[in-house]
Amino acid sequence: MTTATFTEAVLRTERGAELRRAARAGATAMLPLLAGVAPFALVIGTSAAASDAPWAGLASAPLVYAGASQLAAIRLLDDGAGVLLVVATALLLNARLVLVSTALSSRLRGAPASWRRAASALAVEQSYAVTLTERADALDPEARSAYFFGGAALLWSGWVAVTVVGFALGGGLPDWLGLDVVGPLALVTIVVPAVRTRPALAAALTGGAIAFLARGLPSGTGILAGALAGALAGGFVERRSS
Amino acid sequence: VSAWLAILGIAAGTLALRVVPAFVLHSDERVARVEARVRHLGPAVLAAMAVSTLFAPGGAVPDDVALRAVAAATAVVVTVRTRSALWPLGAAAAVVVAGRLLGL
Repeated sequence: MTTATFTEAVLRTERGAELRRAARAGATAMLPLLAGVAPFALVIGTSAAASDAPWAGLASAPLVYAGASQLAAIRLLDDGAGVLLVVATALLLNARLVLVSTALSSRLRGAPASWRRAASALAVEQSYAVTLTERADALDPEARSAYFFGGAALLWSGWVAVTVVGFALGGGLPDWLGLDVVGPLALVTIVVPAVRTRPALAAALTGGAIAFLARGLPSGTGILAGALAGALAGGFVERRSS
Repeated sequence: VSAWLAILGIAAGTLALRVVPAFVLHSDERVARVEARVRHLGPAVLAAMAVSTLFAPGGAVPDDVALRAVAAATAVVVTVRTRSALWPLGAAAAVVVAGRLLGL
């Protein structure tokens, strides 16, 4: 082996180890977020088990992998809604993923395009949020992608596993457990550390306020409206302060 | 059959919603241009999602909105103090469980 080849091999090995470390760190950072979404997955599993099409409901966990739309689809199908209405409603709820995926692509800028495309298939709020941590900030684009994949893989597999547990439990769970609010509260714990500047604060406050005020709009559009208004408000405050 | 059609339709559509931006943003320069425009999208999406699902699930304000607000405030304060995600979630969940057991 020539010196150059040997050096390249060592670098590759060291780089591989570095990326594996980043992936493990991403998975560790995801643990609290997984704990936050687990109750929601449990509720979806129990809802699927109690529905008219339990196996289709269960299959939505790995295939759709977007809680609100899964729950909406299971409930609409149970109410006898048509396929087109169910699909349209679920996609409206999931339209926000375009924004999440765009923000994720921006966050992984500098990583190979093929990595960014693969990452986008696992884009949800929590998997994106894990790339906003200070630890992820300190990584180069490839290592940050590995960090994302570590967290996203754990989140996807955990989501599916907990849904299966809920499906197996079958029956309803008591209200006092507060499972319906743990998911949203987990999002609160993600938003707060991500708000580090005045424009980000303006974006979060405006996004939340508009989403609340637009609650009467058809499913999911309030969130979209809040997200877009918040992003505009953040940009406005940034321009004013600069 | 219709349930499976619906789930498969949603799965295909959702995958498209996720991956299309990544294909459109194929160059770093294009991502950089979009980044400048969507820099504040992350906090806005997350806040909108949190508020909507916490205070207006299904489009209606829930009966226990005060309890939810206290739990959310607890989560914010404990997050700022601890810079962790698990402690605030535990504290906020404890507030909800205690509140519901007390009938609030």
